[in-house]
Amino acid sequence: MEKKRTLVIEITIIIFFGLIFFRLAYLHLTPPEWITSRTEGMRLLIQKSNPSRGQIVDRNGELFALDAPGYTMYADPKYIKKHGNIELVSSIISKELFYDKNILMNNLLNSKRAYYPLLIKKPETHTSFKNFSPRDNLSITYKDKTGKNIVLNGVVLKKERIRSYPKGLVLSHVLGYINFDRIGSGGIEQSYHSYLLGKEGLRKGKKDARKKEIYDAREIDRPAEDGAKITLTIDQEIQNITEDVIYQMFLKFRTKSAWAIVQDVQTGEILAMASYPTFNPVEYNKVDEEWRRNRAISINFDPGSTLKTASIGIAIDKGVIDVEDQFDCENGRWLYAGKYLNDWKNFKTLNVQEILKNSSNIGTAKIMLKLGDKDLYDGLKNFGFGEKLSINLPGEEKGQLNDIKKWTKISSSRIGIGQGITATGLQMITLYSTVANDGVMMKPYIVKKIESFEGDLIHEYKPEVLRKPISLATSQKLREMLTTVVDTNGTGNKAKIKGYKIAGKTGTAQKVKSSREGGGYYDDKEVVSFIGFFPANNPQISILVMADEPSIRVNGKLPGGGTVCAPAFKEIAEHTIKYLKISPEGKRIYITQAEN
Amino acid sequence: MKNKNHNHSKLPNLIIIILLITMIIFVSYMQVNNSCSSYGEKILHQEDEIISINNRLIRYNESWSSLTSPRNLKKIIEYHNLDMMLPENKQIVRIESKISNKMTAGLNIK
Repeated sequence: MEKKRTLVIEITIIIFFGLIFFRLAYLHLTPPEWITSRTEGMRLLIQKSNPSRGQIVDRNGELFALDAPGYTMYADPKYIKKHGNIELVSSIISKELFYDKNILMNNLLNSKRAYYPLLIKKPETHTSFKNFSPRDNLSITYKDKTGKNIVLNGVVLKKERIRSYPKGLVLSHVLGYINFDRIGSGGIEQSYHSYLLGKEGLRKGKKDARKKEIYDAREIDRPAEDGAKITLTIDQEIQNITEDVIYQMFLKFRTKSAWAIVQDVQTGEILAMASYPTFNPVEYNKVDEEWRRNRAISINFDPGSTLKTASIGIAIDKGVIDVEDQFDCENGRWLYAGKYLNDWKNFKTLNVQEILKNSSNIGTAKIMLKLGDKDLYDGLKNFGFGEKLSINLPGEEKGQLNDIKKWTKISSSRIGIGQGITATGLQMITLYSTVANDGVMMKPYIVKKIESFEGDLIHEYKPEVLRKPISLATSQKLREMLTTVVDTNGTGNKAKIKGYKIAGKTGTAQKVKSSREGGGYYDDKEVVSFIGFFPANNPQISILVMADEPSIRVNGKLPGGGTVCAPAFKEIAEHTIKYLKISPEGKRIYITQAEN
Repeated sequence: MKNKNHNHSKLPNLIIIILLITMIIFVSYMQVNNSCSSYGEKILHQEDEIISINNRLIRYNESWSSLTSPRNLKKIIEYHNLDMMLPENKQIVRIESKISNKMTAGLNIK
């Protein structure tokens, strides 16, 4: 009987504990909502991961912009007061980050915030982080001189993505910059922001008591998709020499600003685009807004004599004149419609070739009158004046070509010589590239392709023909005429390169006074330029060099495009010829071998 | 009586067996759970490692890009007193394809 009772008790105990065991096991394996709802909030882990902004590389894959790892260092004054040591934090931080210790301590003591910024968005490699390393979500470790690790509670190193431009100032106007909120605010960073941005990642799961993620409780794991990679048509070597040369020109002639473009005439690809003054994209806010302006596309200027190539080309194309036709250049001063027009020299009779070579205003004006307003207007429109070339960079201007209805009796004689019309550097180089490219106008472009972060091609930009403003025969005639400009006695002779046929044109245009200043032109302010291409017999590359307001006088006079810009053109061209190994016949074949 | 004793000893054995099986299941579950957790830890660790390696790669790429900028290369060349320049046109041997002549290449030396 007793044994039976013992058995019953045993069974009861086993059943009782068995039930508890199974119930606990059941609750553990499939916890009901009344349990999970209490702990869910505490254990829930939602991590959003920021994608890396896409890279920007040149045509050879050289990195120009990328996202690098970095930190923001901040202090949590409330946490420090409770769990840390304000004195210790203040003394270490002030020593390492060059803060005033008393001010920092005072700020930490009096702040009620949980976020007191100490160092915002700096790369991991920043010298200030040398002795610090992240420890956990609420503290960092500081390594002192003796190598001892000191924990600073309440000081946090928050991981950040920092935009880095490893080439420094090179190409800054084209690359642009991103603002504090990581929004592209200039150049490629702005116009291709949506591609560069990437997609945010999400991880949802649970964390343990140490706030660490429990891997097997991960429910959603969608990794961030980094931004697309933008490959530019720019070549860093040509870009670098272009920037160096215009900087030297800027210094030598004390110009207000300078800019240059190098273009592949057959494809329209921009190989270099430089503008000075320049800026560091990382510290974009430390310079004047004007310095951040990409002058090559955003400054409208009177092109001056460089436009004569277009106007004379249109006249030849229309069959109004031919190269050998002669014009009376009125001994350097001509009165037409009550207004005088002057030449820089007292020319008598010149043929069309000589008019272009000597840059005669009067000769060109007479050709324009012969051509007529409508043909000139249509011809210039065909060359793309007065409209954007849509290079897809912010700030591109379209220049100004007044509607023909607004033209007066003298308009064509002035517009034909590059006055009363404005254009951008990009429009002007496109004009010369068209002449160089047998009259075929290629769309200028600066982005070669866009690839996803996984390497899939999103978009590829290919050479695109816009139109054919002049015939092959006209372009050949113009090319021949433009080579005479670079002859020994031509205005652009300083652009001459031994062994190569160079074609080009100088430009010197007085700057326009504002209406407040009474209108008209300044006597002592000019924009000078040289635009050309080479080899003239089989053109490969065109180069535009411009300088705004050179102030150093040469022989008592303000220097023109032939003095300021032609030598710069020559230097860029020589380097480009060597770098691309362009033969005098215009071939670009690249096996090199040193000569014995 | 003998029979009764026999029945009495049989029941606890059964319970012990059930308990043992339960224990085995429980221990196995715990072991599987632990090893899953440890794999999870490893995966998390490796994920962190991938991030840190990727960051290192980015930093190397960044500094390589900076080092190989023409300005830095020029500085380094000058620092080492090296006289380096791009070849002149006459120093270049150009090889053109001569498909029509069934040649792989032809020299174009001036």
